[in-house]
Amino acid sequence: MTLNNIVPSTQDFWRYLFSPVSVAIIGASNTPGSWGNNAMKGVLSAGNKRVYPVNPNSPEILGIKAYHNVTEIPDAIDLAVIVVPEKLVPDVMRQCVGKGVKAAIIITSGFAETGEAGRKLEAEVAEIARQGGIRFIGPNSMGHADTGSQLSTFGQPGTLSKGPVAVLSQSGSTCMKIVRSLGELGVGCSKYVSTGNEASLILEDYIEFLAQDDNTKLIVAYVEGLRDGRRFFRLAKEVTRKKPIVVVKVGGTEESARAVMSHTGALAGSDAVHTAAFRQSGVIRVEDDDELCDVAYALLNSALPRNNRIGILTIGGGQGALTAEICEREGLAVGKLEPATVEKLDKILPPRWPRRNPVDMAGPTAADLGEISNLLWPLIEDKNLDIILLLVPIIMDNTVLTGRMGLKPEQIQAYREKEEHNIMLIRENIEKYEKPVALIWQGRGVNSDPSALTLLRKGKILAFSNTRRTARVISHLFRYRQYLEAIKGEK
Amino acid sequence: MSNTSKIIASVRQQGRTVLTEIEAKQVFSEAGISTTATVLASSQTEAVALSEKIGFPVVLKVASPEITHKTDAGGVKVGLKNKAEVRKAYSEIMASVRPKYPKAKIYGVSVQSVARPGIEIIIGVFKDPQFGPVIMFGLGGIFVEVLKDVAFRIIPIVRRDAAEMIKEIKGYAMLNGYRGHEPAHIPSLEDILLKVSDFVEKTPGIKEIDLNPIFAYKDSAVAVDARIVLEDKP
Repeated sequence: MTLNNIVPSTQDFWRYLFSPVSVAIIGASNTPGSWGNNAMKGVLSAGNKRVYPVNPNSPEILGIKAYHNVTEIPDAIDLAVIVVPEKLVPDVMRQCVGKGVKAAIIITSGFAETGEAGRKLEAEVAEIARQGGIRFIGPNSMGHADTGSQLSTFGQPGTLSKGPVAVLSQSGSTCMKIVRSLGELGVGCSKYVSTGNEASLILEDYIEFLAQDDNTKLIVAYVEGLRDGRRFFRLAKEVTRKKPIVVVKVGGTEESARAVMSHTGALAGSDAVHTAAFRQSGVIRVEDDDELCDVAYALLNSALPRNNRIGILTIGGGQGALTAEICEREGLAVGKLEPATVEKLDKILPPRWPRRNPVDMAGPTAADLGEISNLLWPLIEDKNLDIILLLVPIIMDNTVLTGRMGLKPEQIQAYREKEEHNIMLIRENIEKYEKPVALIWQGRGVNSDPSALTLLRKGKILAFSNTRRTARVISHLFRYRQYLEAIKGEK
Repeated sequence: MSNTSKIIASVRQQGRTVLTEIEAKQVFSEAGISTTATVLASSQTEAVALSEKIGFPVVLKVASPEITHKTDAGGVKVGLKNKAEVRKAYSEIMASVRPKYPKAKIYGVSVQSVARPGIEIIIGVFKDPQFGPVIMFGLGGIFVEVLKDVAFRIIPIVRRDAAEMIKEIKGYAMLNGYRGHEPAHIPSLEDILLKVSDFVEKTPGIKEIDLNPIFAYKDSAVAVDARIVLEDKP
């Protein structure tokens, strides 16, 4: 046994954890579907690491020579992935210490989340690791991933798509759900961690590291309970000046608090105090994981509004009225059009338009819809409006182009080019005036058509199919901007 | 050694964790928070003399760190307009409190000037297990007790936080004056919040604070009752 217990510096430690060159999978297995098999396949899939399975009962795992014990591996080990039954974890951790393993993740469950005996076992493992200078993820973690180094201990096959969002989650399945939902919105991740029971590394540690991580522009977290609320608060105050932190925190109701306690053994804590702490430190608190993804998407794909006054452009009166009401309930205001805007719109819209906000197009033809951007400019230029909501399609569906408008294929091509040109002009104005533009339109032509979504994203136009979600997201963007303005000049 | 450190050291020395109202008010005065005049009278004669000095009407409250619910124990007499009433009140307080708290250390009574009524405000501090000291703001009476209409912030706070937490409560409109009440002077309330936050930050070992009520007027605010509890261990 080599004595190699040199504790790596913090910087090095995170590199070993997220970008290991050599990985031992302790408890690797040939049984398809088992955690030990998944982890092995996942770590192997990138093909850029030296991977050593450890299993005393099999000479080979997935065709690779297996070792009885981590200490027998003839190579230095950066990361140990531990998937053995819980009773064996203390011994395995001792061996990792003996081997001089730099970082570890314990996937195994059956610790503090199960009761008193589990709590003791967890404390024992944590103490062995602490004395041996190993910091670890988990136990009861589902995995961790770094899209930069293409490491995933979740057992995901294939290439991990890169992106600017770091996901931290005190629930493994919620971690994966968030990562997948972000993917569906076209948002990739830098790193994601199922933090498990946090016996060694706690949420606050990851945030401190991610604050310095150049690949991470935005941190989102699913939180059941903070281990060191004061440290979280201090860190968040610093981090949110540069990188937004979006948090969904459960435990606000009695039953949810009980569920949290038995899930990761964390204390849910007073909800009102959490709300205060988040607000005071610029953390964006959302209600659920869907909203979390919506807000992450919006932070990356939109300007932050200067104020909360919306302008609504609608194809019909009913949607305009509904949207106005929902927006007001979510803390936004319906702006009063400047006289100049009314004059400009008078020249474009039929005389029956109501000459006020929401701007009702009063029954446009399909051809009129090709001219939406002409209506958008006066609204973007209006000093009384900070956000523009479009309840009209700014990108046309193929069926409309071929059917109602009767365009031929070469005309469609030209139409699409004009659309893209328009979208890029809109983006220029969104950036120039710092006014978010959001499209709220039924699934057709937006959510069902990935090319339409891509084009909207290119144009920095937010697209949602639900008004309340849109209003909530924009309200979050507004409050975050307000916070950033308020802290300017404060130490 | 500042007056505050001396008071806290002496409380510790006596094996106590709860400051008397008089001690607490001295501490807050030193922190720049205005409180109603409150002095200790260790006898009936002294109570009468001090009442005359402060000026009638006065309030008498039993002075004992062990009796926290003074009103329930019959330890508070308000609106005493002359020497005779003070004398009578002193006897009644002692007669009522003693049987209820046979072992409590009673220093006498605190004699307090009567603050002119204003909008009742409560400001408190407690330790959250995760975030440490938290400051609370709310309207007094039923607003805090029944409606739980309060706002929190983690200590330390800046003026923006103080302003925000005052605006955050649902009863904020009450501070603009209602039913003939004069409005509350918001900057004075912000000042108290900031001074309490500052005091807690600078003074280790504070477990709980209650400034309840504070009377807010159109140009100022004054703490009418004050309570400080120290951590079990310094």
